[in-house]
Amino acid sequence: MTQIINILRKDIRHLRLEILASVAVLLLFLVVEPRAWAELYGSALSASQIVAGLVCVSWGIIILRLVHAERLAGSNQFWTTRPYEWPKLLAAKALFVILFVYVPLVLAQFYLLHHAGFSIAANLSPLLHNLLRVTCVLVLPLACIAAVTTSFGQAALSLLGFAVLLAALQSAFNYLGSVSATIGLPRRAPLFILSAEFAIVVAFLSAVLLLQYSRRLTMKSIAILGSAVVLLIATQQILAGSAAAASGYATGVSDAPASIAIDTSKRQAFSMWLPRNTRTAMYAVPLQFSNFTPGVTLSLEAQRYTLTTAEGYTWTSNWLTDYSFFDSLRPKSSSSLRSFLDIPWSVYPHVAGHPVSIRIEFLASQLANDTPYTYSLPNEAHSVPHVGVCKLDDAEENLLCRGAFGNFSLVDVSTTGSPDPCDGSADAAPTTPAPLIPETGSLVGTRRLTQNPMPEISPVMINMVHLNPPHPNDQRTGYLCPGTPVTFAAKHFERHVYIATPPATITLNEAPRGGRVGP
Amino acid sequence: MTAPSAPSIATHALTRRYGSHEALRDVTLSVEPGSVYALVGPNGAGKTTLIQLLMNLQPATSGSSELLGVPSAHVRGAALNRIGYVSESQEMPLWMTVGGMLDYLRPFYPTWDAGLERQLVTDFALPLTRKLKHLSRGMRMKAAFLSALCYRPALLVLDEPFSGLDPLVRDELIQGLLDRIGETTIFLSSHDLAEIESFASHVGYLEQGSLVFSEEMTTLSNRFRRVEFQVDPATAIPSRLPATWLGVERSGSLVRFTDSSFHSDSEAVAQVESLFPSAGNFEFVPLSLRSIFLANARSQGAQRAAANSGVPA
Repeated sequence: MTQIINILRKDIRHLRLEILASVAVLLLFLVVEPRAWAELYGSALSASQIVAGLVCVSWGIIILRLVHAERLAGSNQFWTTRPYEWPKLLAAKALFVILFVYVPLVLAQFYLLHHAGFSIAANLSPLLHNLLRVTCVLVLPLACIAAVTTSFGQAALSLLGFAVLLAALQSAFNYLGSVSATIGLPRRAPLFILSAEFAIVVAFLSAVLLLQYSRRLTMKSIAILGSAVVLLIATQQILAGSAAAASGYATGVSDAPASIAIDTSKRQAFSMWLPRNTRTAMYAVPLQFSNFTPGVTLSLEAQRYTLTTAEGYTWTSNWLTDYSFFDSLRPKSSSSLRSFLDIPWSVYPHVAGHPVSIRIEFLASQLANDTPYTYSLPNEAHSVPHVGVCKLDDAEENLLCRGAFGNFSLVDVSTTGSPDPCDGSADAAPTTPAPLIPETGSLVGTRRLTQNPMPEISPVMINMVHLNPPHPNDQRTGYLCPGTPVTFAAKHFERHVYIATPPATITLNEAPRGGRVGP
Repeated sequence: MTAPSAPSIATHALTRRYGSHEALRDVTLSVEPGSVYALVGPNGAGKTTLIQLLMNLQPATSGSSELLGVPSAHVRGAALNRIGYVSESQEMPLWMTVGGMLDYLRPFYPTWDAGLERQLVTDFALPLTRKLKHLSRGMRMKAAFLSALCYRPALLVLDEPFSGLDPLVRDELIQGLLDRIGETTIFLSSHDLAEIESFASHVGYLEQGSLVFSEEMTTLSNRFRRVEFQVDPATAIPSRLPATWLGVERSGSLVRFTDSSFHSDSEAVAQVESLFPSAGNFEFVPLSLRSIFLANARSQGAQRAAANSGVPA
């Protein structure tokens, strides 16, 4: 223990300026961040994001300098010929990170939670989960980079090189998009893939640190780091789209809460849209939903389609996990949903221009409704279960809801907007629904089923409930006036489900590459 | 009769390769407790590599080594309580003051001698409040020596400790080492052969990664002689000479060489006369370590050149 304290005291003396700078930036963040809560877009929010970035940078500098204080790579370090016990050295470094990264972060988040009106005790679990993300995304990677480099400059260059490598790989994978049948949008892995990635990061990076501190085998450590990167890329780019992605969804179980079929009655459905990715041809296929189990909502998370021609040619896409294509499915909103087929040009000649049998499989999460919560909009902030604290914005057009740790559920919001500005008093709320905007709704909780792996510096997330215009082409929304009843209907996850459409025969019209065909 | 004590350093066929380059080849040596072992050799001979393998600063490709009975691969942590290490290329915590460094290191060593620390600070005239980065190279080496001596290590490993230092600092450091002789085994590599000669008890010569010899200084000094003799100018030098004769030269009637296996004047005369019957006016000159070093280095160089050209040396 004496050695741990001795090393810790030395590091504190050595890095006192970095510590002071980090604390100062964090204190600045505590001042700036609450000001950003009142706006979704604005200078205070930008300032908050910049300062949050600076907080991360200051921690990054501390971690790099801390590890380099007892450099692990090389053979001419001062400490390697002194009686350091490596577990104690590692413990001293870990203690330092706890004291000057984790503890300040936790204290700052306690303060912000309290300031935002949230219970600290109720948020301990997401706070700890956030610390895990801080560990996986910030602390471990930086500590490993420092562990295999000899100087701050070399570490910074390594990070830069790593960023360039990732960008190059991303470009390469985008270029090869037709192989994986993506449409150029970022793919997100199902949750279990993300968990696997976290496990890979923790296991491999911990191994690097242990190997470096115990044996200082830098080349082997670099090889392990490289393996981790390759494995992460493989997980993200290959496993995420492979059959393994569906393994958590119990394919073959037939008790799905809804039936989905391809709607062959709408001719325009099979037109080719101007492809966003010129390496693939994209078709929109309208879907029909039926037999919804009452009270159930489906959140589609991935799809895979199989095309079979009369000549026996069959092509099956990878599992595509672009959430942006899917909305939550409820009985009354299901009619307008379409599935997007993303067909590589290498496949296109086989399937275009003649009848093709299409079968689409979906992976979804089944959500159940919580008891709806309805209240009349007050002027002041109001606590809403499963959402956080909501308040009407100054323009009386949106509800700004603060939640802790972005822990929003999927929530349906329904209310009645006014076509005219409110006069500012609660009594002035329209007594009858405005004919222009009979009913509006929006979702709160963009993070519902996708996990953001990035750590949160602020525990308080802002989401906006905005009014949707009644028709897609109508730019006008409406005003939310004090006194207007608003209903929040939260959903909670029940289970993963697998749904497949019956095969349907359609004709995919032909189009020149990159062109646009159809109505 | 007492049992022989275990060597402070022992290596067995120690080898280190970097790709296809063999930096150290099958080095086997033993350093007795209480001795001062000087490892000499030209640049690139593998001295620093050998020391780094001993100190577990890099792994050996094959072979093994032990320091104070501890395998080099385990020389870390508490094992370093009894081993001191100073290297010209070793980094120092430059942001620390001399006093701060001593304060920091003191708790690491159970045997830290505060009295010796005070004495060495005075002897070396080290400014305790000055940061290491503001010290001259010589003062920094003094601080490094100080931090390696204060816990009275049983073994002191020094890699080129006097390189680039002015004579005054060298003398101070050597005096510091001389004061430790007896209680500490000293193993050092150096180019400063004159200084080493004054206090080394054993010497090892590394050449291109191989240990050419390793023996006591007195044995070495006795074994090497500069031999000069006169011969009839018409006498030709035989094509085959003993391998122990290094750098054979002839200048008119004078022939000279370095005998690397000298035993006595009479034996040497007999050996010379067997090859040069007309030899006379013999002179046998003891060699300095520097001269021995140079004779070996030149001989090795000549052998390499001959091997490369295909002509016998």
